Amino acid sequence: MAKVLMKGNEAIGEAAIRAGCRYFFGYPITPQTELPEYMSVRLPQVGGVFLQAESEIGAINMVYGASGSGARAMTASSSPGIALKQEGISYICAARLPCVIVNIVRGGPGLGGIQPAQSDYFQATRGGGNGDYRLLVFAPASLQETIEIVEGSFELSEKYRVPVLIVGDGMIGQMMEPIDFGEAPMQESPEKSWATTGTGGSREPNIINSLYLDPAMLEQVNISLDHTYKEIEANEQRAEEIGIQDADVVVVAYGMTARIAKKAIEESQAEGYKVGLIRPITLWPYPFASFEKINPNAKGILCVEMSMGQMIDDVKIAANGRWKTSFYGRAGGMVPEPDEIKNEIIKIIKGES
Amino acid sequence: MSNLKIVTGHYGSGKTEFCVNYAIQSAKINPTTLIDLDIVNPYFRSREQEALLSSKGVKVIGGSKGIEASDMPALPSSIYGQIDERFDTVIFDVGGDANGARALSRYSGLISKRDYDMYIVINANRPLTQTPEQAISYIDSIQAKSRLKINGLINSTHMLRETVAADIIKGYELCSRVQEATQIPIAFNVCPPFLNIGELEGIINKLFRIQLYMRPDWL
Repeated sequence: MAKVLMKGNEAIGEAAIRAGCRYFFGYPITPQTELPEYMSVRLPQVGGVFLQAESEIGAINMVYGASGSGARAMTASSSPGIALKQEGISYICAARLPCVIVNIVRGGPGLGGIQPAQSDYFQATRGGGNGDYRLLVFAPASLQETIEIVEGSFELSEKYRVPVLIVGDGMIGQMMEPIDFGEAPMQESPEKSWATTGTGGSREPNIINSLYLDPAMLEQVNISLDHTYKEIEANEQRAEEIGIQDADVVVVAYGMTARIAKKAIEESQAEGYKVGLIRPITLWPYPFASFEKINPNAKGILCVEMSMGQMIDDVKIAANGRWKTSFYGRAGGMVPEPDEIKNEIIKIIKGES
Repeated sequence: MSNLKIVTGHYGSGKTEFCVNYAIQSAKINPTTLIDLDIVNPYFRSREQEALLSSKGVKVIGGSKGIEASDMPALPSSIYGQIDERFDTVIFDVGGDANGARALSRYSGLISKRDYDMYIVINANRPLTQTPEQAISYIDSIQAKSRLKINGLINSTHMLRETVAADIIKGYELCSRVQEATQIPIAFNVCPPFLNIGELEGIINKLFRIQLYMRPDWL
């Protein structure tokens, strides 16, 4: 198929439809609004349902219902809207339902602004909702990668019965890039023995629930979830690694920030510095395995984010005291320039940081 | 040729990049004002280039002062005064799609009393403007929403940094068919800075060479 030029939000919508998603529940918020707008036009064309909910809380609970009955369902929002969905997300995790959630992140806290940010890392990986739960969290850095992740996420979510959260800063939603939609992904869901599709009089009813008043039973739910999370940690860590084995400095950045960091790394390399990159593609499970390949004699690790420092916590856990870690961030919708990152890299190399 | 230029089109077509380039070139010969009328999209708007444009002698009128980065559907009242002026070149960078063109309709009464050039920017690589029928339907909807008439086509067929001469030729062929059906002539064929213009000379007239101001070099 020939390449087309699409806007990120549209491309996410098209990729979801190609992956068999036929139900989208959402509520407008900048900078993700083109996604529900696109779904409102496209889903009726393919026999699906687009529903603008009365609120973000309404939308996530509609996903809960649709997913409980076995459908491939999706919702999307931007930062404060995702904050509103947290209760539903926790319920969906407890009820072991698959679904795909998209967060096109804007600056916070509070209503914040509408320009790109990465300040929802804690919300995405530490759980904004209650209880022991995890989400499979992806952070693509190009639109081609975004559509490939969206297309694979429904199947992945069903495999583990864990929601997938796709985190893109505002730019991923708003920018244009050439996209090559390859072969259509698998649209058919495997048999969902747990879904509320009607007993046909031949089995006991399936119950979708997150309330367990018996502590022993609730502990079993937690243990079972934990087994799944350990399996995900073992199988699903993804990262892009560039030149980390012999680097003097390794930059760790995800999403669009990694694109800016790459430019800074290229410019540093042109000046003779040895600089590598770890770009986490999954934020949870965090790609700890990549850090094991870093040059043991590297002078330091530089974490760059569009926030005041959130992923840096995971970078420190991964470094485990073996390398000096430092942080550079811009916040509130400000986007770092390659030169700012390059200066930080050089400071580490010269021992000034 | 009028000195009031209105630029419309699909978002992602290359409208803003064209407007910023046209304004910078125009300012070399005539006082020029660029009006950012985009209240549909909060990103990649010409008002973000105000510092650069000012340094090149272009006056920029964007969103209301202090909330330029917002998606507030508010436009400064100073826009009205620009429509009357007869000596300066004034460029309207209109928001994407028919919804973006709706903001233009509040000025349509004043604009239609004078001469103006209104363009539609077409990128044949965008999903919804790939056939003459789709492009004509875009023209119809933008004209209906703005209550103004388009009198020029801008072929801005690109694939960002992956653009090759064949893209521009493909867009030229599409626009030629639109021109045949609507009698609206092609006004410009946009060519990015990294393409060898020699590949297009002799095939395509009215080439308009642009710099990429809107796309940061790391993107």
